[in-house]
Amino acid sequence: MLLLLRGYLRYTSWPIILAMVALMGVGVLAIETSGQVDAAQAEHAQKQMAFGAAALGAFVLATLIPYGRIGRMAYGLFALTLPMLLLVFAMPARNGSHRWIPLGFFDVQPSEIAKITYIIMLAWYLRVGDNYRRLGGLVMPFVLTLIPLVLILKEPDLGTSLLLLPTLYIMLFMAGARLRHLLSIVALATVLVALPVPHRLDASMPAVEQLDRRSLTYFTFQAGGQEYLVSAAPLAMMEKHQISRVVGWLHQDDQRVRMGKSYQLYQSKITLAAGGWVGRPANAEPESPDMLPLLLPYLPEDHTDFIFSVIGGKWGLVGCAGVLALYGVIFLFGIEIATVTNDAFGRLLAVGVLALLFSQIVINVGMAIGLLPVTGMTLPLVSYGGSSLLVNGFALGLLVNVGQHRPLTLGRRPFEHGDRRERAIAAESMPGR
Amino acid sequence: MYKFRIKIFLGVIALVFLGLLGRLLQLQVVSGDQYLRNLGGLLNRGQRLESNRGRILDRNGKILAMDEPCYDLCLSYRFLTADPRWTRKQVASIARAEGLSPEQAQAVFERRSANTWEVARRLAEQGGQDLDEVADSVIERVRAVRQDVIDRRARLGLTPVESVAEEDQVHPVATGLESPAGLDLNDTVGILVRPSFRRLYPYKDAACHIIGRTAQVSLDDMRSRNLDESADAMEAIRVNYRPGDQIGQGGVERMCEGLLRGRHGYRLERRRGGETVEQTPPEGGQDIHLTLDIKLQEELMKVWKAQTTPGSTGAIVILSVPTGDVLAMVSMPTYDINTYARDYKELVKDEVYLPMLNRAVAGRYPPGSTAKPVTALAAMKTGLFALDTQIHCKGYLFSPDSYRCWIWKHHVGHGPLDVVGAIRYSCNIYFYQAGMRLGLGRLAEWFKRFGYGGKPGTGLPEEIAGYVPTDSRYDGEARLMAIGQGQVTVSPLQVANAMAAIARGGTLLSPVLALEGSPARVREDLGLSRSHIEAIHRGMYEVVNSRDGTGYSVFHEREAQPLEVAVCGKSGTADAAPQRVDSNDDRRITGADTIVREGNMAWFAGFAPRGNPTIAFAVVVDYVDGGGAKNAGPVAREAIRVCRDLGYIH
Repeated sequence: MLLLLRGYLRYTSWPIILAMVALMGVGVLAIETSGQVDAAQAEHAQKQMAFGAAALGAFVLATLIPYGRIGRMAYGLFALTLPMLLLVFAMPARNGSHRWIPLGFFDVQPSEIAKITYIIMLAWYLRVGDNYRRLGGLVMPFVLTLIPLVLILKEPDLGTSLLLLPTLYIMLFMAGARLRHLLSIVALATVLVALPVPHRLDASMPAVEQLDRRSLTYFTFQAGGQEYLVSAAPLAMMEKHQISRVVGWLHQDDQRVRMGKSYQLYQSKITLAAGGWVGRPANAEPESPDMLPLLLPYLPEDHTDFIFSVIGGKWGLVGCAGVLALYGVIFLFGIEIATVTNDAFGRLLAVGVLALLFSQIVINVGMAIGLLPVTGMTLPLVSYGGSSLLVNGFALGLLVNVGQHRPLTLGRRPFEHGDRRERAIAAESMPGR
Repeated sequence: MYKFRIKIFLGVIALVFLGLLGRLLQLQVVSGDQYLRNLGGLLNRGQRLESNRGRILDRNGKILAMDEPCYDLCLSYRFLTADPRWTRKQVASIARAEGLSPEQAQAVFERRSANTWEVARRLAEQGGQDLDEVADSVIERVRAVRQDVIDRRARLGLTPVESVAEEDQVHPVATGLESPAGLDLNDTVGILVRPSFRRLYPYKDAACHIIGRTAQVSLDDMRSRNLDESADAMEAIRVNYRPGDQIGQGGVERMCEGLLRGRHGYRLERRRGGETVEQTPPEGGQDIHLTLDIKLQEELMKVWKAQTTPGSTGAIVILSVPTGDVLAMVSMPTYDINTYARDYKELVKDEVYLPMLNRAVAGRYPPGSTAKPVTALAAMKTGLFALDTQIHCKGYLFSPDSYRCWIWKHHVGHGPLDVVGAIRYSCNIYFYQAGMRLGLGRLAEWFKRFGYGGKPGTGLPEEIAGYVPTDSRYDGEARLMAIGQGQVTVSPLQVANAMAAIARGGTLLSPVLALEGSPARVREDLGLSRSHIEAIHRGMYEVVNSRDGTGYSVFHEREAQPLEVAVCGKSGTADAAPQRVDSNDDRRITGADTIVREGNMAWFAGFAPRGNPTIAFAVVVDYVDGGGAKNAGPVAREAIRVCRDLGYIH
């Protein structure tokens, strides 16, 4: 028993755990900051600490079961997720979207669970064979991706559904899919997305919306007394609020849209700017009051989607860089695990977890600093929210789990000098020798 | 291959992170200041420093309107609406300050709240106002402001606001308190007594219609006059109206609002701590000097009361001939401006005597025979009549049934008359002929040249243009207009101004009421011949001074003291439609409605003295039984006497 624990602890990747706990800690502090100015959010820091403890539990749980055994349940887990994704539609909508299944004490967000079961399933699917090196073999992975993607998109939860695509790409790329196949699919998708689609302009729309839609078209024409817009396919299908977000993002530096369509983004930028280098604006007089408490009431979703701005406002550029550095630690040691693991499923699982993490960070931070349009996306391990924290904890657990089962003979064999070293390691780690 | 690709993955992560860091560097450090520049509003709070309103003075510097320091009792909007969040905060702060349990603090709050209502109610009642009504109107206005802000932001596609500034402000509910001393505010909540100003009108009802009044600003005024706060917040504090602010309503108070109001000051203070960052003192409003002589105005009111039957309504206008100054402008009945707010309901209810109507500039009267000098000048100027043209009056124009002369009641005619005689006798036939030959178009043009059918130009918001028909389905319109009947309507000020133009020898000047804030003056030479003017002057002189002139008996009554002024005048007895009120409540005045007043409009207008005229006058008495000279003449006679006594006639 003791021996088992010793083995468990020795092979665990401690830097990843430390970085994870540090990020959770930063998150709690930032949530506390945003809670100080809004009484309605006062208990969020407390709750986030409880969620953090639960996430650590999920992490440990994910490290205990050998990941291979989880792999064998991959399809089953994925199949279990799909009915949950359907079940949300039977639940009452909140803020116009069906994302949660209320369990009384806790609201489950199936799309969060889908993220992890999707990675496990895809890694399990891609681990054998090499048919995805042919174009036809890419059909199946795409189909498996589109099923949860469409369901989540329908909730609607654009951010989470779009998350699956970069994850799929990174995993396919790492599994060895041909670059020219992957690039041609991207090219084809780009053409399809940009394809001009004519659609009628509803004259009963508010004038502002009509103006927004017009500004995003290739051209317009009149037919039969009706005005038709010709714009890219997704724009033709987008809802009013999505259109206004896109316009707000494209014209984010325009004085006129700052207080309107890109209000969130503008407030996020002001909050970041208030942080300066280390938490004070660059030109601050020594006695100038702390601006953050004045700014945060104007920053919507400051404890969830825009937590990164709070961090930037509180600790400045140094704080932001620190958070990115902590993620860097996870990526560095995560990639080390993905590199030394010889097991195909393990490699893909590790890569999948990292890809998921990476995509979330880029989308969330990119949106907070105006590089990407605003979509609902949490900053993993930092943003307030139980489901997100638990799932990310569990995902990192899987990553560490893979690392715990690394091949034992990693180092140089004694007395084998010179160029034979590489060969020896290769020979040692060749599966099925 | 896998190891190579994993290096690529790592490289991509590193590059993307570097990109994010670069953007963060730009946002937070390089251009951080740019984002923070407009944060003043977040850090500081602007407080308004009240300016006082300018005075209104008469031509001798007597004060007609002034601000007097006083105190306003204000209540918090949150208190008025019993806002639950505000209440909770108050209870919590009571609990903290006095170390009480939440239940005890709640009880204290409720006691203080009840006491606040009681104090406010008592003070509002002292000012003659009902607290509940005032509170309702404050709430209504603040809600409307809020809705305006919401609508405007929605139109611009901006995100909605949580609350507007007015919701966090205090609003005056009892104004014009003498002193805050003796007011115990210890056991109150959400109350503030602040220094303010109240408007005082020392001459009470004299010139009440001209001075106007101030009242709480209306929503429409706020909408049209306020600046957008987001454009320049400090300037908005200085000039914008807030609910409860006073604004000129009618008269000079309205006409010169921009000059009288001045600019508020502001104090910029830190939201936290409250130390002053910046301060700009208020600029008081400008004084407005009127051409009016308040003494003359008061004397004329006495004259009116002495020379007319009690309850008579009408107007007297006295203009200075050389300058066009409005020396006095009386509209009867009057009201006391100081108690206007309290009396408003009574005043507005009087649909018969209409005390709030400024008859001198806004009354619509048929000019009657006072228009005849204008018709005569038009006929002579156009060459249709010569000075010696004689028109034979046989008592009627075509047949005895219509277009009669007033003399026909004695079943006789005036016989042949030239222009002087026609004016002296006020013979209708002469002017029927003149109107007929001129035609409506030319006659209307000459009426307009003498200032009828256009605003006289004092700048008073109540001023009306009257109506001069230029086209009529009725053939006889020109004939009727020539004697000042038919569709044509004028105000007493227009009549006095036309008389002044005749007195000047044919130069129309726009009348001047205020030395500041009046519209630009218009001076127009009508190009009349001297001999024609002389003839009219002579005719009007004979009206008063010839034994058979229409005004002779009034000006030479045995008991009246001799005037010793060479007055030129013209009487007028205008037929007018009876005044009806909407008695059947169908929102229309029709023949089915009850007649409340009927009779003639009695006029007497002219100028004095004959050789070198200094004043022009017009007097009208509404709905009288009998002729113009008999009813309006004595008022004009005594008005001229007052002018003479006060030095306006040399």
